[in-house]
Amino acid sequence: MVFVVTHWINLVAMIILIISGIYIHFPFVGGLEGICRGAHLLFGFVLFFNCVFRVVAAFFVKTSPTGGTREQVKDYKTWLPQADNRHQALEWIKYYLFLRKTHPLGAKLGVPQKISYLLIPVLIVLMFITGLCLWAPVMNWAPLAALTNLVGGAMSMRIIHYFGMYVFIIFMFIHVYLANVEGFAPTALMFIHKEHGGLIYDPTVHDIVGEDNDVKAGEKC
Amino acid sequence: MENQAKIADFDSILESRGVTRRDFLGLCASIAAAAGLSQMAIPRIAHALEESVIGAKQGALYPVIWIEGASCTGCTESFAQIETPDVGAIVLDLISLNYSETLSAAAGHSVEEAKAQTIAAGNYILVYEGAVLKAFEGNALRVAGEVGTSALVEAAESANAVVALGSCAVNGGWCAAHPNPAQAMGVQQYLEEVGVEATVVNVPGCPANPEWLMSILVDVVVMKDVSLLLDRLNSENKPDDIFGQTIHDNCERRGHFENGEFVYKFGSEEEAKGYCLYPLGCRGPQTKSNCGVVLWNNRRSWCVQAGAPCIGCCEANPANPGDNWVQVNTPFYKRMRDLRIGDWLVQPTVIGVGLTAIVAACLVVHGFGMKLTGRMDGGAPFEKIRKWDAKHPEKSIGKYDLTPEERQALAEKDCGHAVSLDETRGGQS
Repeated sequence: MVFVVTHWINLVAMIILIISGIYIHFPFVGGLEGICRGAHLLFGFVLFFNCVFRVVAAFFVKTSPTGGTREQVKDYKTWLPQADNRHQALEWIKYYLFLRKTHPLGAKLGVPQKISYLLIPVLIVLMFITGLCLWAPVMNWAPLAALTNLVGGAMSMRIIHYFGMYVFIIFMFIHVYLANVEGFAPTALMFIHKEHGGLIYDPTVHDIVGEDNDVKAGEKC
Repeated sequence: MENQAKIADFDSILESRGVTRRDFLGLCASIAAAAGLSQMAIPRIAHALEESVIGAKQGALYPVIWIEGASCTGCTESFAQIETPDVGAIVLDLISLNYSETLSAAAGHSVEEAKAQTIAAGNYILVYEGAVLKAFEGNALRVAGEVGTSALVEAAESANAVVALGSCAVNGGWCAAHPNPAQAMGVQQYLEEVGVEATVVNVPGCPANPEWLMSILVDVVVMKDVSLLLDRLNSENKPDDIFGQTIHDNCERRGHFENGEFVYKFGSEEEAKGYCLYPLGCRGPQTKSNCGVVLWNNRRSWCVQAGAPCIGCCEANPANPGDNWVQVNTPFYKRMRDLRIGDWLVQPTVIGVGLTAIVAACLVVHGFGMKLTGRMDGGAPFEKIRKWDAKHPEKSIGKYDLTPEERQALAEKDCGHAVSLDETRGGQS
């Protein structure tokens, strides 16, 4: 449940950061500069600290290692390579490219999915640091100034920060698409924590062992 | 030395320039401000000026050699732009400009000899204007039969301080912009490369503001204390009091920025109202300089007051000729620089929006594929057995040969409502 909240915070913070960031890049209408800069700053910190909290919480909160089971393990284990992920990277890509007819068996997160999600905290930290390099009150702090010099000046830093936004946007497009194209169950789970029945997958034998048709969507097992 | 200027009487100088004692003390206050000193230093400056200019005790003015590198002499023009003999001009009388290609009355052999004598005598300041051209063994720039690079090294070796004046001298400036065939670079970087130990003071700007140079000369020439100058330098050897804050931070139009009142077009009503020039590509937010405080042309105005967005001419990283202000700021009226891919110049927005659009289009096409293959309702059926497991049964990851009883037990363990799929498994409900 705690990750439903962090996901909501991510969503709201990213949307606000993107809109206010585009405004700061070019103020397309008058009058909002102060609001946009304030919001950009505030939600930049919100996104960063939410990310830190999310990573730390992964070591304390338990979640299912895979879809379709009631077993739970420490969340961070579901982010590391799992036995279920082995030899399935190529299969997932083949599935996405219509090169195979059946859905690959896998852990909660498929291999391409897991790698791309793991890059998001990296991107958030990168955006946080490049953002600080452009923020006047701290831009002269020696490590940040050195980083700005390293990339070739403030203009290059701005462009890196700007391109980072497009990486977020592209990720969000793909993420929203893939999460919903096969039905809205993942979205219902993520946003309102609505669980669903269906196949029972057993993480000890790495196989689908049953069906949970008795459970109406939303009921707890 | 015979060729050094001497000034006999400080008061008569002031009088001949039409400067009162009050003006003079006002000058001392502005010098203190320019040099980053507190108001407590004013009497000390006044005393130092009197001592120095009268020349009664020392009798000689501080020698300065001013060498033109790959320059347009714009910084000299800027420095010589003082039209009327005002208080600032008197400070100029503090130095003995022994060599300057642009300003010296002498020319040819005699002026080259004056330079050689000054270097031999030592105890002088070198002002170097323009970029250092390294290509063609320095032959891209030749003066009086000597290559430019060796002229710099010769003069820098025995100088008390080397002032790299203007963005070109700091890191090559526009001379170092792509493709930079002459391998232009800054004074500090070149001297480091050839191993000349020198105190380099970087004063960027295109041109450099005369008051910035004045504040440096005051530290060294008048106060006779190089540590005053060294204390002011930041990690890029620029005086931090001048180049420590962005133009944006001290801009007179900053209030309009915060209120979101912008000029989007030259000649518009907003421009007449003096709104912020940010959408017209103003580089104030990323350019560090005190232009808006010191102002230009005898403190009359400056670019932004005159209605022109800052083009970031003070951007110059002495260690990186690629970070020159023309390279990182053109086109000036766009919010971002152009990126160069081969011979193609492109705005970052084109790349960002282009990639996003391509991804979006791919997703739409993929969506039709999902519809056609019937995967939109819960996806394709799950594989009965992993492909890899089928090929490597001895190392299989999954166990597929469970008895119906084992399967039932596991299904019930995972969920009390579950029923074993047994033979019918292989489709998501």
